[in-house]
Parts: sequence; structure tokens; C-alpha cells
Amino acid sequence: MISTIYFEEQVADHPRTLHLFEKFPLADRIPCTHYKEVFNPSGQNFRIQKKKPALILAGNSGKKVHPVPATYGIGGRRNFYFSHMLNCLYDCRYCFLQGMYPSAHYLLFVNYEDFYEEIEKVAMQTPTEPSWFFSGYDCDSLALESLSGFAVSALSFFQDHPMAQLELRTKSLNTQVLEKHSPLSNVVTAFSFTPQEISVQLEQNVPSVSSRIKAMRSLAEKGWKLGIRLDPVIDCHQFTQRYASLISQIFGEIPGDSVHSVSLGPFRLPHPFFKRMEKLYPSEPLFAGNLEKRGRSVSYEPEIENQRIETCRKLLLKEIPSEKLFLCQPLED
Amino acid sequence: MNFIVALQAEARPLIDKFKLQKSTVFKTFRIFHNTKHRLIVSGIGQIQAAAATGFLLGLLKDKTEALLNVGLAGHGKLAMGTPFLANRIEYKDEDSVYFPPPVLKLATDYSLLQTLDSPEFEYPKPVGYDMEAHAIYSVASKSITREMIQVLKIVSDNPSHPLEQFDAEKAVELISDQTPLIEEICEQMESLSNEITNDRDFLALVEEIQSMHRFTQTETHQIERDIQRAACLGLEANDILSLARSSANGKSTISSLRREIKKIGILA
Repeated sequence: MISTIYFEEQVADHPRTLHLFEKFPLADRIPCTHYKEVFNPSGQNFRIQKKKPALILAGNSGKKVHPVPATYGIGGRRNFYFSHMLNCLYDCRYCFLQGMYPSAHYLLFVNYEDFYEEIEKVAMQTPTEPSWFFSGYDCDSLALESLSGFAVSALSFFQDHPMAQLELRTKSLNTQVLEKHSPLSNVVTAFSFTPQEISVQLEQNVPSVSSRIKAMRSLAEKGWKLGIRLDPVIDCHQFTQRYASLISQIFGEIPGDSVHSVSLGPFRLPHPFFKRMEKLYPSEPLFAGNLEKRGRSVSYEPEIENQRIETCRKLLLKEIPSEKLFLCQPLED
Repeated sequence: MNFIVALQAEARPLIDKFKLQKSTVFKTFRIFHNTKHRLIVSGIGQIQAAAATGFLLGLLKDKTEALLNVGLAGHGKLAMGTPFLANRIEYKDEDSVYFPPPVLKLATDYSLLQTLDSPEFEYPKPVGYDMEAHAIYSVASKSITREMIQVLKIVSDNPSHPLEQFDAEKAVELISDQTPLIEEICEQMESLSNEITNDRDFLALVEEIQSMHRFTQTETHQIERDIQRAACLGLEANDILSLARSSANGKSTISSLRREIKKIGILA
């Protein structure tokens, strides 16, 4: 699976680095001084790299925990995200990572403990009020668990820090780590969905909708709290029928009391990201369709966007109380 | 597909393999080509290599064209005759290090490569030693997509067989032995290059429509993208052409095309 590993010389002896060297004994190992030498140069082609991504092992010495925009969140007042990894196993055409990063290599920061130290500091700023930490912004939280061991380590940390709330966001079926662990009340595993007809067009390598629902049900049975993320909402033919079918399929199988939250987010991209993605995939119907530049973002026309979000909102409110539904609004330009 | 080699002896097996003809147009560097391949002989050392790379870049139509540096190299560990792809290219006095992205699927060796100003006789590290690759990568990566620049070296000397003097016949033999590998690399690089290059039919369609009306510079870009959008949303080339023919000018062609796109611009 991984045939090339770049590693920063400073993490060459880190236990996680050594473990990964052992796990991929045939991988070509290439030292670098700083991951940016490999990850950041301009003139790389994300699309080509995505066919055979390398693994970069590095230490994150900068700020590790960042505030989440005020219009995002799932009920808490204090929301932060962190990225132990950049880039994803899956290849979703709408994903902003393609427009944000110059490289498609998996960049794994092996110093998880430094992340936890910072998370602890942030959480302790309000010892009586929970703080939310979102882990799946720049990668899928579980898809590369067999490689990263991140979730195992995170569960251990969050178990001891109940005021710190963790969202694992995923499209993966790689839930064994959760299955083997007793459920934690401060951890929500959130699965992202688009209708199956859209998924097959836009989400390469992603497990089917039904298999993800099955994985969710299994977690629910074990007592884990679940999140459902319809973000981005993608406009398509038979929109209402497809989203209605998706929502009914999910709630037909997942017990309502295991659902912690559902969030809805319109499709939107920062304009420079969109331009890069369009250039990478000029023949992609999603980018060729009826989108418009609004302020600094590209999205559907307001009328379409509002209609589609409202349709989903109504469908969801038949299944869940309104206090569990959150709209992730893009920031106004 | 473009090759850059330092010496005529290194070029000869490629010239034979791909049946390349010497170009009579260019006098600055020796250039050989056929309809699909182009080869430039740079001469030895970084200055020559940089100049030849710059010259070659001037001949390319697209930054997605592939460039392969083929040549002999010393190596501190690998056996004579072993081919390897450079995975890290460094030059002793510079901080700039290049990492050719590992996009090829080959069961060949990979190695660090150090570019030097003079031949290496001591082989102090288990890495490759050459005199051109760093300069080639440095210049080429300013214009060409990095994945499309690769460096293949064949070990000509090592601690057991140190470099004594250049043997042209040996060079031909070492490169000739690797022509199947070079062919495989070419196929893979060309395939990747095709994936990120606009296809000819599309370019012909754009050219035809652009020749029908006058377009400003901005409109030229707009119509190209709009034709591409319309095509990938399922509008047939003939329908796009009819639309352009029935339009009074460039501006109205763009408007008509956008009206059509609006009708069909929803995901299936």
C-alpha cells in the first residue's frame, strides 16, 4: 500500500516512525530536513500523486489546535480542530483538500502527545464548560487507522479528559478500534454521506452508503454516540427523492437515541481552491455545472442552495428533534 | 517524451531504440527526434546541463510533457549495471534538494543522488553520484509538472570498480541493457502526461470555434473553458459547433453556450 516513506530526520527515531518502517519494510525510505521540502513545492500535480501517494512522517512544531469558524459546531460554544494528518485515503471530487494542498501525499504528524498537550491546555481554559475538538477536517479520522493508530491513542487521552469532546469524522468502515473500546460519552463518531447515486460519481474508493450505515448501527449497538454529516449537500437530478431515500435509509437502521447530532452544509469552496480543482479535473461535471462565485467562495446559486438545504432540513426534522440539527453555514464574505 | 543525456555515447542506445533522427534545425545542442520522442545531448556538468534543459524547455508545447534524464552514475553501494531512479537529488553546496515524486510503478531500485562538480572517486556514502541531475531538475521544475521529471541512472562505477577513465563502448552497453526499462518508464510517463493534457479533439474543436469569430483575450479563455464545460456535461461537439455558427460574434457565442450549460448543468 505504501511504497515510499519520506521522514524528517528529527523523527527518524520516533517510536511511531520505527513502527511504520517495520510495517512497510519494503517501502523506499527517504530522509528530509523538513516535510515542507517534499509537501510544499509548487508545480506538483495532486491528481497524479493521488494515484500513488507516499507517506510523509513529520513532527508538528507549530500551533496544533485551531478555532473553528463561529458558524460551525454541533451544539458546543467552544469549538476547535486539529490535524494529526493531512490528506485522505479517499478521493472525493468535491473535497477542498485537492485545492488547498500542493501534494496528495499523506502527511502524518507522529507527535500525537504534543497535540494532546495543547488540547488539554485549551480544554483547561474552561474547566467547567466542554470544549469540542474536531479531528476530521484535513483527513478522514479512521480510514488510515491501521497505519496511524491515531484513534487508539486519542481514545485513551479523551477517556481521561471528559470535558474535552472529540468528533471523529469518517467515511470509513474501519471502526474496529471503537468496537473494541468501551463507549466514551465525550466522543462522537460522525459519518459523512451523499446519496449513493452521487457517491458513486464523486467519492472514489469510499465504502457504499449501506455498508457505512451498517458500521454505524454496529457502533450504536455498542453504545457509541453517532453523528450524521450531510456536508456538502450536492445538487443533482431527483434531489428530493435521493436525499429522502438516504435519510430514510439511515434512520431506518440507526436508533434515534444514538444520534448525537446531524449537520447540514451547502457545497462551497474558496474561489482559489475551486480554480485549482477545476484545473486538475477540467472534465468533471460537478465543476462544469451551475455554480457561481459569491464573494470569495464558489457555491450554488442562493436560490438553489436555500431550496436544497431546506428540503434536507424538512426531511431530517421528520426523524430528529430540531436541537440535534445543525446548519454549517459558510461565513459571509 | 523528452530525454536529456550528457554524452553522445549515452544517447546512442536511445537513438537506435527509438529510431531518432538528428535535427538539422538546431546548432546549439545536438537534438534527435521522431514524432513522439525528443532527445538532447547536453554535455558534461551542471552548466551544460542547465543550458540544455533550458533550451529543451523552449521546444516543449506543454508543461505536462515528460522529461527523463538518462545517464551513468557512480554509486557507493549498488552493483555495476544496476539502474536506479533518483528519489532525492542534492548538490553539496546548496540547500535546495529535489524529490522527484514517486509516481512510477516499477520494481526498480531507488536511490539518493548527489550531483557533484567533478567525478567522485571515493564514494563516501551509499548514494549515487553524477554531474548533471540537480541542474536539470532545478531548471526543468520551473516549467514542467514535477511528476513529469524523472532521473534514471545506471551504475557505471562503485567502490569495487572505481572510475578510471570514460569508456564509450561500456557506456553504450550499460544503457543498451536498460532500454526495456527505459521503454517502460516512457510508457508510464506518457500515460500520466496524457491524463493531464487536453485531448486533441477538444483542442481542435476550440480552435475551430475560435477561428469563427473574434474573441478578446479574456473571451478566448472563457470560450475554451465553456466548450469544455459543455462537452463534459454531455453536449455533442456538433451541437457546440452549430451554436457557434448561429451566433453573431464571439460574445454571443459565449452567451449562447452558457445558456445551454445552464440547462444541463446539474449532476446526473
